[in-house]
Amino acid sequence: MKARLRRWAPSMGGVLVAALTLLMAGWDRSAPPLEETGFLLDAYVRVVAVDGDRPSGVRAALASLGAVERLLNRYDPLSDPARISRAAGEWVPVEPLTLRALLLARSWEARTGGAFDAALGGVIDLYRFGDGGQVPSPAELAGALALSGAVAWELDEAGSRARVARAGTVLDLGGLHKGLAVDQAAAALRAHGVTRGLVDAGGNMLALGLRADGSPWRIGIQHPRRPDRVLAVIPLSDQAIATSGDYQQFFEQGGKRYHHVLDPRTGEPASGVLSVTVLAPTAVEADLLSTALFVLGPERGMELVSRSPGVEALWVTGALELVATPGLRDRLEVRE
Amino acid sequence: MSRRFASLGLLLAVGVGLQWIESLLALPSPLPGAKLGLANVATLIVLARFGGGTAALFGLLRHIAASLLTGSLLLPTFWLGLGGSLATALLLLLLGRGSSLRTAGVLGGAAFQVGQTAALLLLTATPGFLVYLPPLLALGVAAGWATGVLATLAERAVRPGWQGPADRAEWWAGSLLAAALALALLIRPAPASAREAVVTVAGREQLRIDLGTARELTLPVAGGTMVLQVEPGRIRVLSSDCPDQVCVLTGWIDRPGRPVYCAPFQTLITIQGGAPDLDSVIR
Repeated sequence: MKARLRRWAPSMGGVLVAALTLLMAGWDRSAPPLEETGFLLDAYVRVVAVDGDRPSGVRAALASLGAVERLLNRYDPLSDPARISRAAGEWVPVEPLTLRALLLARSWEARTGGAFDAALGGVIDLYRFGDGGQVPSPAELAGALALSGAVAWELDEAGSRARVARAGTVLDLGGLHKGLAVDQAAAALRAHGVTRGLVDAGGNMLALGLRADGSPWRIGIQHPRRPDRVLAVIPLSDQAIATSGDYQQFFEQGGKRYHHVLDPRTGEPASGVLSVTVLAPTAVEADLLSTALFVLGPERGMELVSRSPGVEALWVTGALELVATPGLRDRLEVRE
Repeated sequence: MSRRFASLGLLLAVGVGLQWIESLLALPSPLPGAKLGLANVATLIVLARFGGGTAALFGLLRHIAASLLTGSLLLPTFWLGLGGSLATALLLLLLGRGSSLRTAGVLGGAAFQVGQTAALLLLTATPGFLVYLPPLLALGVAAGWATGVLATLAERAVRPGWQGPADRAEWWAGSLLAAALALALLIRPAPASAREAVVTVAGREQLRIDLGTARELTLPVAGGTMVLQVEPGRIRVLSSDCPDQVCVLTGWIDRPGRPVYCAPFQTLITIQGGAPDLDSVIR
């Protein structure tokens, strides 16, 4: 018996090793996270789901990104902001989500001391970003600025309606609508049992839970002057992130860079900062604050962050220095 | 007889395992096509033990089995390796059992490079590749000598096992493989695969671009054209008729997880192959 065992042991050993080898080859090939991409009016979006009902969740998330875009992107003539701006002086009934966006805009106008402005569309249009670019004259700027700001539009929360007071005021929720879309997409994922996933709308993202390998999602922050480089990496889990930069939409004239992050108080591109990245509990807060903190700069911005629970920020200054809020410093992996 | 089969089976597993591990380790190579060839230790032990004919067949089997495992079966690298393995098999047939393992290693290493270069010439019909043969021969001889020395030591260590009643050699080989596999599992880097760019227009895959050679491509899309520039391992949109120029401003991309997109033209360029270092880059 013993001799027999000895004779067969090597063959069995060989079979065992072969089986082990095959097993290892098949290792780690469990279903990969489901990932889908799509295009909105002016952006590329990507949704990743690790668990839950992944196909339905991803489909619902992409659909809600598109729905929010159609509802709130003013460049769509059927959107609520476009309808409100066209019907100057008249109250326009709005969808519940638009009401939510306008309420958020109203509250943050005050909290940012006017660094966020939902009625700046007229000023933005003067620059013709995405159409070659054009520097407006001081008179043009003054005229458009007079039609902007908190006083330029009214909100009737109980009646779920809004209006702009005068013709020429252009309601523009571009500073928050993408963040709101990302929040809606994340809610759609959650509704389909997805607890781990990523909603990626280019400059606005939200990470749900952890990646498939159990570690936080790793998001790189683009170098403001070298688009193929990553300046720093932030591990992210159950949090939203947004970036505003002077490199996203700009033109140059007379050696000066005219970018799309405008200071609502002057109507000119905000200066001193190349980019701001904001982490917040919701994507809409991150989106809105990335614009406001760009305009405010690190010094005054720090103060606003300290009054906003769960918010962290990273400024890249004109000298390419990184200025991070205290809560972010230890999390940041600086690349170069 | 059954013992001979069991031994050969185990040695095959060792050889395949070694080849797989070497492919996983991604050792730096001074020239494409030059490698250490650790798996040849197993072939050389077969030569010492079972003679040239068995070793020749063994080498070919090992190449095919390892290709199955690394996923390179029938890919260009597979045919190059097959050319080399055939040449080496021929040499092993000629040499037979009597030769020293170091000699066999050195000659085998040289024969492999000759066979591999021949296969390359056949595949590409480019005689210019012949200039690589002399340096490859030198590297092949050096690697062959190293594996020959290793094989001599290994064969000496397992020799008592072959002759003794206890099958120590088999267990020795088995545990070596198990240890190597455990090591590979611990390291497990991304499988090295050829990088290519995938271009999707309006949600449909339009073309795949091999990122091996530098060139420019014109991509017609609805509403205009985009010019793509390829350099080894990376790609960018050189120019585009689109209004926002976001795609051009994105610059070079060289890894998965960082796409170039053009929303006006509904065009997406992503890189496949290799593991992404980041889940996304926020812009």
